[in-house]
Amino acid sequence: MAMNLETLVLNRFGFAPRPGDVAAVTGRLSNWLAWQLAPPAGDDVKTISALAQQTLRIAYTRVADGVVVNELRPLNNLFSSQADLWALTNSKNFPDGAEQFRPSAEVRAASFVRATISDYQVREALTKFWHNHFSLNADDDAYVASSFPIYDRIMRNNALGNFRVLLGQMTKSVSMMYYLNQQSSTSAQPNENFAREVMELHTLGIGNYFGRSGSNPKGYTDDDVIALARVLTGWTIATGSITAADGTRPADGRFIFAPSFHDRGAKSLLGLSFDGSTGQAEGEAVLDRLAAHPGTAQFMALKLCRYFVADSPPDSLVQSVAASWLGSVNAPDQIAQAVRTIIYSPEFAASAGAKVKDPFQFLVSALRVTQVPWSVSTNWISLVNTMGYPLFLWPTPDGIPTDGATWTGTNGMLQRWNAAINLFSTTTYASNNVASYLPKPFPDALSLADYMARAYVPGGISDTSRAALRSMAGSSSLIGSWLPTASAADTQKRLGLLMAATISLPEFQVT
Amino acid sequence: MNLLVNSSFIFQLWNSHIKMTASEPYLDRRKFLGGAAGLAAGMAMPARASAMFGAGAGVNGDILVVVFMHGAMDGLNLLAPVDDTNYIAARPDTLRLSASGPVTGLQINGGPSSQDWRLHPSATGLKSLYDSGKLAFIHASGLLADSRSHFQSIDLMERGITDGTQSNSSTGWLARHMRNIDVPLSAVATSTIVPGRLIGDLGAVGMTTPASFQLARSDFGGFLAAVYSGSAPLANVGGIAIGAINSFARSLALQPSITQPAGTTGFQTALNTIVQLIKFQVGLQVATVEIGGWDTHYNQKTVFAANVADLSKSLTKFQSDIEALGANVTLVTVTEFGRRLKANANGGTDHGHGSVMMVMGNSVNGGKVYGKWPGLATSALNLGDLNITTDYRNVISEILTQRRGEGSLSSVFPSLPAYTPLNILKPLGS
Repeated sequence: MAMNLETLVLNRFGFAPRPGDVAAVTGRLSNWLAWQLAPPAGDDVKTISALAQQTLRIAYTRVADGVVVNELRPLNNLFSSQADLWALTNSKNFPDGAEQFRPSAEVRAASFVRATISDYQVREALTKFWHNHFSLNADDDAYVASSFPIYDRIMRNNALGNFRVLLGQMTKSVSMMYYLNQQSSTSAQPNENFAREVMELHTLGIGNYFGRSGSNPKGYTDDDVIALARVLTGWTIATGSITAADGTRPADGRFIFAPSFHDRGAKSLLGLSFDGSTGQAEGEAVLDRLAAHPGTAQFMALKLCRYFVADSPPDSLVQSVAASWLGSVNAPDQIAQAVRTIIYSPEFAASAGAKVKDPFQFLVSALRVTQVPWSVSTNWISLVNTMGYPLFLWPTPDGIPTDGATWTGTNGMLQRWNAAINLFSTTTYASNNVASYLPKPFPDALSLADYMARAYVPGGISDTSRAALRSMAGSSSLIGSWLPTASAADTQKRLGLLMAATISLPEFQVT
Repeated sequence: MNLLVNSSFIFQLWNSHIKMTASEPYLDRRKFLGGAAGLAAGMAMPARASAMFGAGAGVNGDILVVVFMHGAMDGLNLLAPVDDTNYIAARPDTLRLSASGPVTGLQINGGPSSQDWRLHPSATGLKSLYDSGKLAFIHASGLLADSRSHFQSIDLMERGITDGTQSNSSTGWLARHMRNIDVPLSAVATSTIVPGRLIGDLGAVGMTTPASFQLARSDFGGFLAAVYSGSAPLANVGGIAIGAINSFARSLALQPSITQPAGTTGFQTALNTIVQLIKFQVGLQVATVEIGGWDTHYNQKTVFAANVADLSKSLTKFQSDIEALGANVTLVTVTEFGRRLKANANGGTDHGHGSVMMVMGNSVNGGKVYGKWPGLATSALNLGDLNITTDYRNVISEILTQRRGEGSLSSVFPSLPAYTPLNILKPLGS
């Protein structure tokens, strides 16, 4: 595929260029990147406004009085404090599951809004990457779900920052603690769930797993898993019934270290030894070790390159990124430096067409290129699920696969084509007032087809695709008769189908 | 994780580092499917291609359904010797079956030792199937690898190997069994994403329900066939998808109704899909089903009971549906490993080793628990976990040989050293 570097960057480290975006970045990529890699905290003005206007339906029968709640409600929990979100788990005040799980649904809706509208596309792309790296099922239970806006904030605030900081905040989050049952792990019976996944999935990777027993400087063994489970006993959440190191019993969902849960025995793992007397510092030292481990640098470099460059990325690039990663272990912009290394590499420039859009990227990119007015509804959540991408609901902690083969099986292709058809030829997902979002006037249907191809697929399409699109535009049963005699409603439908055809093109599926 | 996971969310699978390759063995299939895809919508398939439907190995054998129980099912909570002192000592009475207690088991005959063998109380349907000889258990079975990682173990099981260095291991074992069957609807995964055991079978179809496996507008078929062709990106997989959609549409057109009874669980819906496909006679040979929720680190008593109830009810209904159709079907369940003998602090169990497999069908010599029982004495355990005395591949080899006419197990499981039938199944034609 022919795709210039600007188009490639906007497709991979963003959710596709809107009409005009490529031209705006061309010739000033380095300025654009400097802006994108160090965004100010928080959302931009347009996104704040869109999030404020966004609603999402909530419907349930209230336990207390049997009243049926069924309303379009704003995303009220999105910016709430940890204490306020934690309060939702108090079933005396909030006995209704729908209210306890509401924050997770709001994050799903907000993620569509941010990916589509945010100016800070690189940060949103990396936020998505980190969510899937530190993957959890946000609806696993009421604790995970109610605090999920905090988890989302941890991913976004550190998306381009320092990995050790991100790793630490993730480890101490309510959502991950409860998802992997770390909060109730005690010295009597340590729970190995989180200890295993933090090494296998979050840092060293399964490639650095060396079996049942012993130790290996290149990675970890089950002995290390068992030792880390013991190290992390006492890392828990303030529920009100657990005494923190300072003797208090806070009840606001904050992270605390509980000495009474902690295993005070001697431990050794990953080349570190503890006499058991230093409490929380043991776990912090292990996280330091994991974050700075060369095995982690290799694992993260490979994972970043697989996600942003190619399913089987060139090893030369993986080694460059690993070197950048290790060389900036203590830098506040460690992750941004890795992104910069990828973007300015010859391997990245040569990778056009190497990635298949996953269902979320496909849907958001369709919204961005067409600029059709839309608003998130529960229909969107169902749609992305149906396409095999249960947003923040992947049941297992390994995250959703990121390789193209996952999305290009028979059902994956079919659901993608059906999504394209339903997006723009029905009012289920977006306004069907598509005509007002097309430049006017169009002398004929064929030039409209050409416009859509140019505007929606800036990488260009083949002569075969162009001919098929023009043929569809000229076909009387589909598009052709919309000018000039068709009714307004008929025109909308036919325009929608032409949009659907354009985003069904093979060239739109890959970046 | 806490496993309050509906199996409808199991879309996975763990295939992220196994790539489909355009290697030689699949050339014929791609040519065939490419040809089918190139047909304009509505055109009949040429006679030569039609004749290929139903061709291939195992055509006269049973339809094989492979159920993967994701999360590592606690075999010792499904079926156990309840009077075993080691068993009683290792677990609170909420996490073990007993003769009388909070989880009173259903007593069965045919256990692998002279102890009091019982099934989980939610497994009433399974007990009936077992008692009527249609269901067999294989205890202390599983993957002979040391890993306690879900993802690594699932990956190894799906590829039919015990470590990543073994040869011929980039494809799934079920795909290798299906090597000569060039029919798009011969291998169906009841999930959006095709699982690892079918990786390498480019004709394998992911289908959650028959009704959903249709284009929202049939007049897009010709357009899509035209653009997913030649050197276009994804032309190969797009062409295969259009071929499968078109041939399925032709099958659906022959049906009086394609509406499917809704399942009350994702597992039941998946099994219903298989029943429908058998009824539609689309040429189904093998099908895969994923059922999640077995990673019971936490609150196992409640979660496990609900899972077993779903399993038991859904399998009972499936067997009854299959018998009503008069079809020959063998179903087998696998899980990546079992769980630790000793309970953890969260009312759950951590990752273990050996577990239980099930084989169901009219050709099963049921009513018996197969496999050598290693016992639960500390000296008999594998680092604290139930040992494995039956390689899961041995059971699958027996099914493939006895019920699917597989003549080359070395192609399916090249690294399986020897295969010893346990006589779980009657041979074809008997």
